[in-house]
Amino acid sequence: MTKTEFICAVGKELNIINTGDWKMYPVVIDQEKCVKCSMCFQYCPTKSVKYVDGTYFINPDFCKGCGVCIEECRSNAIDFVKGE
Amino acid sequence: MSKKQVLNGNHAAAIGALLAKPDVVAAYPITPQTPLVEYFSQYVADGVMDSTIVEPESEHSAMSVLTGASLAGARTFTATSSQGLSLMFEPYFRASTMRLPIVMNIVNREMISPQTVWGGPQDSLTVRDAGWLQIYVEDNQEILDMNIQAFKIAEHKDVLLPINICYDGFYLSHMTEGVEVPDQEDVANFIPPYKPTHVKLDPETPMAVDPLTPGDYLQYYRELHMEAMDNAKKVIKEVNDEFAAKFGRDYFGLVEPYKMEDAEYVLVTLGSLTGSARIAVDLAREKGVKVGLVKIRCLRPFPKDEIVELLRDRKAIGVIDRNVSFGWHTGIVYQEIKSATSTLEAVPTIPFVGGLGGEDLTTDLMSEAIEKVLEVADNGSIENKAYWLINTKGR
Amino acid sequence: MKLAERMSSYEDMVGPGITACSGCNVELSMRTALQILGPNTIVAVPPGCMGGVQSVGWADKTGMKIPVFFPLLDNTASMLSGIKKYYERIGRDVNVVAFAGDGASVDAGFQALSGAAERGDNIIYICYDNEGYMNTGFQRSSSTSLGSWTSTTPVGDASHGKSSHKKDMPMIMAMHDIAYMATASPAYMPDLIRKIEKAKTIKDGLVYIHIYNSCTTGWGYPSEKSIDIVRKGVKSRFMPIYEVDHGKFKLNVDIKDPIPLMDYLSSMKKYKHLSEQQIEELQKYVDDKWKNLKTLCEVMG
Repeated sequence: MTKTEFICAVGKELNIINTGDWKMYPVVIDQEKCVKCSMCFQYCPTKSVKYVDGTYFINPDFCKGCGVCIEECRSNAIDFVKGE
Repeated sequence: MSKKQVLNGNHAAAIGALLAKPDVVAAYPITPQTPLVEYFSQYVADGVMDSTIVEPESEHSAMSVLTGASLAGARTFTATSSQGLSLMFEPYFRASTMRLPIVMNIVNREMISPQTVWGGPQDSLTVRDAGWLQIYVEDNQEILDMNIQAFKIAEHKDVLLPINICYDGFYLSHMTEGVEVPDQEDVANFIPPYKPTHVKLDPETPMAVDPLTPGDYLQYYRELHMEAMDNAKKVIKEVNDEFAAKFGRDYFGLVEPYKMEDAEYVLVTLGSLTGSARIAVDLAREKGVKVGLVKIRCLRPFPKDEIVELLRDRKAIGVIDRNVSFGWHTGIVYQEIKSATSTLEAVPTIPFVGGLGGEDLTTDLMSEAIEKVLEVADNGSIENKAYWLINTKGR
Repeated sequence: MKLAERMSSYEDMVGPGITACSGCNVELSMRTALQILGPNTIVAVPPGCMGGVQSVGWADKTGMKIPVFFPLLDNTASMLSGIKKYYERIGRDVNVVAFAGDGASVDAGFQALSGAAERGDNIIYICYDNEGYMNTGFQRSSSTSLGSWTSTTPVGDASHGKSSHKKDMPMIMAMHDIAYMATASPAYMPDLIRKIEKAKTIKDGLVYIHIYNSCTTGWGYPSEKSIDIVRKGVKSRFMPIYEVDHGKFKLNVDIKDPIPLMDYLSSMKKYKHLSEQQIEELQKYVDDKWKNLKTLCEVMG
């Protein structure tokens, strides 16, 4: 029996699941090629694409490596980084 | 100032709940509970009640609306019967395991099949293990008074469980009696406001309700739920005593003993059939038979300690059940009594069954039961199988 | 403000990691919707994919930054009605929202939803339609399309997938005369975002938003094709994007020159066995539905 501070099934602290280690390879945006179409930002299922000061980049922490951003990018600026 | 009114059972329940001022009421009409819903709707239409009424499309939704409202922090009230109760079983079980102190009257009606609309507590007894408190009452005054006490018991910090006030369909729901109606202000002072923190859906204090929960946690919550049931025994008695002191009517808490001081033989009853059983006990007493009666008021939690004390050292016991337990070939209350008295030296205990589907359990039938109890006390032979109390007059 | 700036200003209300399948566009839809609805929101996630992926939490921890709960499969709308009624009673304006799958909305939860719609309760009910019970391995729902393989409408010598068309839930909800009904697609993100923003402003009745989603594992296509698939669904007129705002019909994505339906059907495994006759039936269904919708937009626009 695991005791909690609650008398019935509730939860207050955020449960964090490390989905970042699901991916085979990291995904990066080639800033040279990026035309800022925002497709990666719009379509990333895990909201791992960030938009800061006019630039899009991928936060790898929870990225599952699904490849949607690579597929949807209008300028082929995104890819897996294989090797090393 | 309280005032005396002539009320049927549904009316008494409606007034009791009205005095307790629930925030949200959601109920779906079903015979014999329907007038209760109509009284409520009329109170709101007349502006005498400011509860928010939701008219759901089914009993399943009635209980679901109240589950949501209670999770938001509301005091909640509803009522149902038989098929309605079985339709809402899914959210019914969940309301108790979420620890939501919803008050629901169950206007007891037989379960179908065969097609029936008449009285009998088969409905609420069948769901006795769903985690709700269940109080069974005998008359319309008790209906009104328990609807007031119900909120105070259910919302108590050591309980936080939903509660059923169960009363027999037609026998009480549609029968009128003189009922003392307490003053609104006295009731308001009697019941403290409900301010939940244990489970609440509020953007100001975000929490998840019912995350996916593995068994080791679930067992802990079940243990706490059972402890809350135990706590409820104390709370029901305290609230009973407080109510008696303030309003002058004492229901003796979990069980009501009647002429038990020197009783050698005992009838155990539940609900409105207690009335004719009392008369039969009085008649037998006039003939010198030392018989007493134990009315079970609280079926969940089951008052096992009180039952053991009351039934200790008696010569024979008869349990009157207006319901059946398929597979045991007895009534349900009989099984409860047998479990509770298992620590006592064996006393012959007879499982009487009768009054199903709205059949009368007359004083004559209760007297027949007492005679059978005496007979068994003499010869000690007992068949662990329903002894039917059948009304043959006029057939 | 451009979309990326606007969306970046909203916080993601869902825990950063939930166990939805890689590439799941339902996860995308849920995160986006709740981002827009914001912190003043209570959300119900009934049993289904999004409940299963721990968005409600695990054990004694929560899956979201906002109040979230598991309703039963079949009582989501009723529970939300109760919550909303109490907040209205105490004078607090809170977004009371469902994010429910097609099973919980179109099948088991339909009665409760229909009741809430008829009462005009001010809740926002979002249905993510991935055309089946995907969380339990893709059994058919009444939202599964004709011919689709599912584990309960398998393909064999005597059976060729689901034998009936999907229930037209958006139209059914529109015909409840609710305040706002809209369909949406994760492939048309600005439209989807606008509709959620609109839902937030509706205070005079029920909002129903039907999102045409898909499922990489159940439907059988690679995860990176998640957006492409539903875009094809829209472009073939299989997933019509429209709204009904207080009775006024409007086609939001007019597909004047549809791609061949086969382009959509052939891009996943669940339809790979389709016969010519089934394809014809599906084409007729799509054509009829489109024609009806266009008429409604003209007559009731």
